[in-house]
Amino acid sequence: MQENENNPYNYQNFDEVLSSRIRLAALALLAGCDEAEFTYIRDVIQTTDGNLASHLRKLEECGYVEYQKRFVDRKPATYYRITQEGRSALLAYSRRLTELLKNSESLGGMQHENETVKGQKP
Amino acid sequence: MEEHTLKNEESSLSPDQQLELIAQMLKESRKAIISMGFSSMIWGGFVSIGTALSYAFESWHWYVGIGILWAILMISAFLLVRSHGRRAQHQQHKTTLINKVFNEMWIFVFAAIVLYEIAGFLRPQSISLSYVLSVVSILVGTAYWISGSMTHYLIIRIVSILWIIGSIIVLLVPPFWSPAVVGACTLLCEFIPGIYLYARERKQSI
Repeated sequence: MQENENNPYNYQNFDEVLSSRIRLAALALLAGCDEAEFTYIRDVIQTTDGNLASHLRKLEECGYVEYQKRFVDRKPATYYRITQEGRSALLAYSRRLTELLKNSESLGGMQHENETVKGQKP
Repeated sequence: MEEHTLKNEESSLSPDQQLELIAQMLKESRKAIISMGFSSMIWGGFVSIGTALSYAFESWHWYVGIGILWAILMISAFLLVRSHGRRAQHQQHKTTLINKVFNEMWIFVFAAIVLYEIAGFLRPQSISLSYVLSVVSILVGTAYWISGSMTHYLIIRIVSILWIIGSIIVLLVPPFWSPAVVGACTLLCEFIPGIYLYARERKQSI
């Protein structure tokens, strides 16, 4: 059990919700600001209304984001905000990715060293 | 930096691409636009006009008029700046932490100024007008200095230093002329730089 948690390659350690690039991008975007309107997220992420809405609903169901509907200049607007849970999930996900990269680099380095040593043998 | 277009949802990203995407999104959403031109222009203009009219009312011995005038000017300027600020915020489609800190700092300064002026008005024997105006100038100068460091505008930092100099001059001149010093400060350090900043911000937004 402990071994699984420490293993950076174990897929179970990665949050499945953030495996989608749209959800990951939306959550990271919301982490940088206090709140953002739906259209702003859509324009930055470059996706369609329907696609983004379904991904944001998934994030909301997991408790990672919350939304508020308001009237701006007599037009309805939906503002999204990241929750504390969402912030922690993004941080944990980023840490896992960094660990994975570090381990891949060190493995790559070792492999390169072995190849060099093999090449030097007469 | 590689642009991640997210139209193709199915294609997966490598760990380093995912980290790059997170960094790119954070950078984008942290961008904050702080506009100071309109508020400086309105406050500077209103306070300068108010000061000139106060001297006129005083020469006519109409002291109640001075109180009414300042109440009207302060409320109108506050409402105008607030409605413009809200409109500008909606155009950004997001709120950043910097925007929030900036707005709350100025609201706090405004509230402190109003309270100090009310205290000075109610107890003129214990709190002199020169002292009240000096404190007001220090508060405005400090808020401008913080705003200058947030926006990186040199002109705002210069304005803040001029306000601090003004706060000292207010204490050195005869009490009758202390409102004139603050009036001159608002004209030179708020209204004129406000026009410049407003024109610059409008140009940048186009």
